[in-house]
Amino acid sequence: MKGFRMSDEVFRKRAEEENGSMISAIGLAPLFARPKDSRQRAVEATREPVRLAFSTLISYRRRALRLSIETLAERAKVEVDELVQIEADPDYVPEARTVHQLANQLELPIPQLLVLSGNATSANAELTEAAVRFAARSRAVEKLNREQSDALKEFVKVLLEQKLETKKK
Amino acid sequence: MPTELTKRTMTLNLTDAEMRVLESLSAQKDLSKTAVIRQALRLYQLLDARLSKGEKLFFEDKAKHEKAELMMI
Amino acid sequence: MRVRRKSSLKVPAREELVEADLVDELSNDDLINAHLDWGPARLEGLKRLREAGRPWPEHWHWDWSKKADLLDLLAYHCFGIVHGGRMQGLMMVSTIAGKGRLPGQVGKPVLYIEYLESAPWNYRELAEKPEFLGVGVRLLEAAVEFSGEEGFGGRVSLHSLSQSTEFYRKHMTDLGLDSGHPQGLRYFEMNMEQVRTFVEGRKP
Repeated sequence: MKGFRMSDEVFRKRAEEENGSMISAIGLAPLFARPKDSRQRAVEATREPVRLAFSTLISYRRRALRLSIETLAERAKVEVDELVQIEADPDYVPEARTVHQLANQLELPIPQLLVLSGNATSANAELTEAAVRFAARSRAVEKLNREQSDALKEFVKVLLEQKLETKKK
Repeated sequence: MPTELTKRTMTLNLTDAEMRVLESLSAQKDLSKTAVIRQALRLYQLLDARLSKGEKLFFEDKAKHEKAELMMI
Repeated sequence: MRVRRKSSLKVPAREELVEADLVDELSNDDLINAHLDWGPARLEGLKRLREAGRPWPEHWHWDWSKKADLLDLLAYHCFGIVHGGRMQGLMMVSTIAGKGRLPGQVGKPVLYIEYLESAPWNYRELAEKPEFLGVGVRLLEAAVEFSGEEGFGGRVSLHSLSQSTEFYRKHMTDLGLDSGHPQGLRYFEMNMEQVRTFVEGRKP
C-alpha cells in the first residue's frame, strides 16, 4: 500500500534518528520468559557461592564435553544468550525447565542441578560444601587446565553420589 | 499488496440476525464486513488450537472475584 | 520465507541506502536460523558490556516450543528484513490481540506487535559500530503498511522493553507501564495522525 510507505528521504532521516538504538518489543503472547528481577536477585545473593558453582559447573562441563555454546543451546533448546547469561551471571536463576534440559544434555543429575541453580532447596550440607569448594577452586578461563579439570571431576562425583531430598521453591 | 497473494471468493449465507450482528460489528470497529469475518476466523482458529491442547478459556470479573469458564464445542 | 517487496537500509555516516528484502511467511527454521546467526554477535556484545561493568539490557528468552505453534495460526504474521543473506531484523504481529486505547480509536482494532528485534550487529549498545541503521523504522513501517492492508488504518501498538522506549516515544504515544502485560512493560500506541507523521516525515 503506497500510502504507508516512506520516501527514501524520509527514511534516511528516520534511520538517522533511530541511530542504532535498541528497538525491542515483547508482547502478550506466551512466547517469552524473563529472568528474575533485581529485588529477588538481591535476596538470593546470600546463596551466591552455591550459584557461582552452578554457573561454573555448566560452563566447565560444556567445555569438557567439547560443546560450543551454540551447539549446547541448540540441543538443549535454549537461547544462546540465555546460556551465556547462565554461565556468566551467577545472579541469574534459570527456569526449572531450562535446568532440566541442560542437565540432560550435560549428563548431570537433575535434582542436584535444581538445587544449585536456585530452583529447589535441600538440607544436604555435603552438596553445599562441595559446591563452595568447587567455586573456590575454579576460575573463568578459556580452556580447562589440569586443576580445573580435577576440580570438575571431583564435584561431579559428589553430585552423582547424592541421593537428594529436595523441595521445590 | 504482495504480487503472489491469491484471494479466494466465497458466498456467505447468513440469517437476518447474523447479518445485523455483522453490520453492527463492522460499524463499531470501523472494519469492512470481510475484515470482521476474517478476524472471527483467526480468533476461532486460535481458540480452537489452545483448547485442543487442553488449555481453558476463562472470563474474569475482577470486581466480583469471579471466574467463569467458557467452553467451545 | 517469501519476499514481500523490496526495501532498503541505511549505512551509517553515508548517504547511500542499500537494498534489502522485506520478507514474510517465515518458517520455524527461518526464525531459528536467524537466532543462531545472531547468537555469536550477541554473545560478544554482552561479554563486552559485562567486562565494561555496564548493565545488561533488559532481557528475555524465547520459549521455542511455544513459538513454533503460533506460526501456524492465521492470527500471527512474521516479517523480516534481509540484506547480504542475513536477517537484519525480525517482527511478529497479531491481528487479534490489539485493541485501541487512545482517544479517537478506543476499542478499534489495532495491529499489535508481539515481537520486534534487530540483529545485534545493528545495535550501538552491543556492536562497536552498528552495521545498518533503520531496521526498526523499516519494520515499524511494514507493520503500519500491513495494518492498512488489514483495514486497521495503519494503527499499531506494542509493549516496549525499557532500553527501547526512547525510540518508540518519537513515533507513538506512551500510555505508561501496563500492569496487564506479563512483565509490566510500557505500552505504546500509534493513531492515524501519528501514522501520517511517521510515514511523511513531519516532526510530530
